[in-house]
Amino acid sequence: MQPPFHAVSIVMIEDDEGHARLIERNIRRAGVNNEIVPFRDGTSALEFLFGADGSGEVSGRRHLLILLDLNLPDMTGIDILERIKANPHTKRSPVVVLTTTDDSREIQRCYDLGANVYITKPVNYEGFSNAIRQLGLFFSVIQVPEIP
Amino acid sequence: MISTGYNPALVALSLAIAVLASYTALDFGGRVRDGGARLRWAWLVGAALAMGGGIWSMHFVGMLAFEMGLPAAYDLGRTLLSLLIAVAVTGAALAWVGRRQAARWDVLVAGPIMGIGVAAMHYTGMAAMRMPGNLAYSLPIVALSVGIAVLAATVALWLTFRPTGIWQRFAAALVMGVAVAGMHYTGMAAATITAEESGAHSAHLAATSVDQQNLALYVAGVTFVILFLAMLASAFDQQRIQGELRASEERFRAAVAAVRGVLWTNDPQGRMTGEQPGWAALTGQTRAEYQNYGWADAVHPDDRQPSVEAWNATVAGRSTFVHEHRVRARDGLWRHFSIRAVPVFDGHGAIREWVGVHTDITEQREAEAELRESNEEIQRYAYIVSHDLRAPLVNVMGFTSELEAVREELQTLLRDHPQGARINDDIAESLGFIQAAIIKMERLIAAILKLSREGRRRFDPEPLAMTHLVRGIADAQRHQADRKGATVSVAEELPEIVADRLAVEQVFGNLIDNALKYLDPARPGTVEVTASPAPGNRIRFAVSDNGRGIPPQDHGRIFELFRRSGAQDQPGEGIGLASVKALVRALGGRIEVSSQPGAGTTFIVTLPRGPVTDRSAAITHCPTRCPWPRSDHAAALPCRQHRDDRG
Repeated sequence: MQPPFHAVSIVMIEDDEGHARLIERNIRRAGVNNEIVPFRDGTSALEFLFGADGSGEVSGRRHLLILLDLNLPDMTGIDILERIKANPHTKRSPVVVLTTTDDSREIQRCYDLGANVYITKPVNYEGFSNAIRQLGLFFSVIQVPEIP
Repeated sequence: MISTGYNPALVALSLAIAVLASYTALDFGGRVRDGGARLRWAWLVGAALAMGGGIWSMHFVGMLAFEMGLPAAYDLGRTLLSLLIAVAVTGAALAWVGRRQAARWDVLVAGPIMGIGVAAMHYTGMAAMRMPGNLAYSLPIVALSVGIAVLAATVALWLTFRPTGIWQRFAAALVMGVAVAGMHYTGMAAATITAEESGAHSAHLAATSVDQQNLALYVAGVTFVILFLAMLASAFDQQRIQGELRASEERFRAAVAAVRGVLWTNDPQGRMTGEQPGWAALTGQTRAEYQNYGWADAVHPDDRQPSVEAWNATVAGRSTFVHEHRVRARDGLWRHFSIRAVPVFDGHGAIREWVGVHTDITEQREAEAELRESNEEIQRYAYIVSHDLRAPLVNVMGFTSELEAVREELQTLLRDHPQGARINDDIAESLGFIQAAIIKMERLIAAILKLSREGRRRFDPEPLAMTHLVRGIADAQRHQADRKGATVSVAEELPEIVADRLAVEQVFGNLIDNALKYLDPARPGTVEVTASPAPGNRIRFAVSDNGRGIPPQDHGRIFELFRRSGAQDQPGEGIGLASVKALVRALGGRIEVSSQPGAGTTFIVTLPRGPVTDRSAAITHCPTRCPWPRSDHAAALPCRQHRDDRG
């Protein structure tokens, strides 16, 4: 593992347990061994990202990479994306939107809001595992800024 | 020369007869034009009898009022003849003027005929007089009497066929009666009677005079009775007409109420005047409030100005007013109304008033809005369902593939096991079925998603040169056509329409693709695209082929999702025509198929020439229940509200 990536935690916000497991397996297969912090709903993810006071200071010294599903039971991933990109402590964390939706307007909207990567989960498993593995390779070269 | 005089009582009686007869004739004459075909003749005969008989009886009584000091007798034949002349001439004149197609100047024809006839009656009556003396006439006075007769008859006829009130009719009858009597007495003044044996009959004078008076009274009495009966008949008819009028008015009010309408009237200048019970009941406005343009205060502020402008334009153009606006009802709620108003013309083509009806279409509008919402909801469901179905599919597919990997590992491990090959094959077969099912399911979900997206797409109408557009599509499919040895011909002069380019391209692309797909290998394929105008400013496009055809029982099915017809020998999901149908409907058109198996198929797409404005409004319109944060985002985000039940 490259040293700069070593401290990075992958925050996986994904309500579907099966998807979460498949994503994790394939990331690991790509040789990425970083900590994966899974959340199955928006509320708990937001609490982790912004702390109990909602200020976001809690993420101040973290190196985070966020894997975000859009279809969550309690809110849409768009809401979370918006808050991440609006908060000074989290706005520089890369956000990878990983979802089943391939609607062009939704993709546009996510990039408008500051998403760094948008990936559609292919139903075809080969495509799916390929995408995740490549994402893992991408993770291993990406520079995640330290949040002041 | 005999000194003559008049019995004043009989003169007065004759005058009374003339007036009463005139009134009766006027009353009857007024009914000639209004009555039905059969009644018309009855009223005409009645009017002729009343007028002719009345004039005659006035004349006869007037003769009897004449005291010339000579015993006079009357020749029955000639007297009756004079009566007949009076009735016939009056009847003819009334019939002439009473024709439905009669013009106003027709009285100038009928009047003189009747006047001359009355004069003829008078002088025939004079000639019927048998007396011991000679009659001589002063020609100028005779001419004067004829002139008076013509004038009186013309005026009488003119008055008869003019709509008048009871007092006007009474005055007219008075004038006419006096004129008729005037004619008679002028005619009498023209006569000079010379006795043959002066004084010889003076002794009989008193007796004769009494006879004459009695005769006059008989005639007058009979006349009065006849006229009285006539008036009675007229009164009954009046009652019948009023009853019919009341029934018709009640029917009219009921009809207006039945269409949930509110009736109102405006003056010729388009101002609301007078009592408007319907409008007052609807809006709660008082007469002072709605007067002139006060009604506009009850109209929704957004609709007020356009309504007044449209109304003024209609009044200026004297056309039919068709409009819609919201009105604040008495209870303070806004209700939608569809309005139609028409000018009511008088006999001279001038507008007498405007009559309008406000029809309450609130429920219709609400139902439309509800339908639109439920349509949108169905589309949202389709979208959500197809999305959410995909997520578990990713799992099934994913873990099946994981199992596949495990199977390979197992295969290595079980290589030496006696059951190894069987176990491996069982697992492989099961996994194969699961994967095939998932692939199929994914295709179906993708199809639903595609359809629902097409229904939600915002249409962007633009002018489309259809020949060029359809040729472009045909060129794109040339490779496919050439491979099958088929030709696609597009008519030279397809009309231009205004519609969404992509949608129209998809419609015709699908239809031409289908035509090429399902050709009959037994003959060279031809596909033709033609167009013809259709009612309602629409164009009827036809895509015809000579392919294998579609059996009649499948004509409805082929437009359903995932349904296909005939031998399943061509690749496809069965979504093409379902999608075409959805698109055509979204374009405001309709699609039909006619086909004969083994002969060919024609798809007929009827599209409006212009863009469908309210349809695109319906697509972009975001109802208050819309759960999405923004309407411009409508197509992108699935609706979360419906997913509360998820963990």
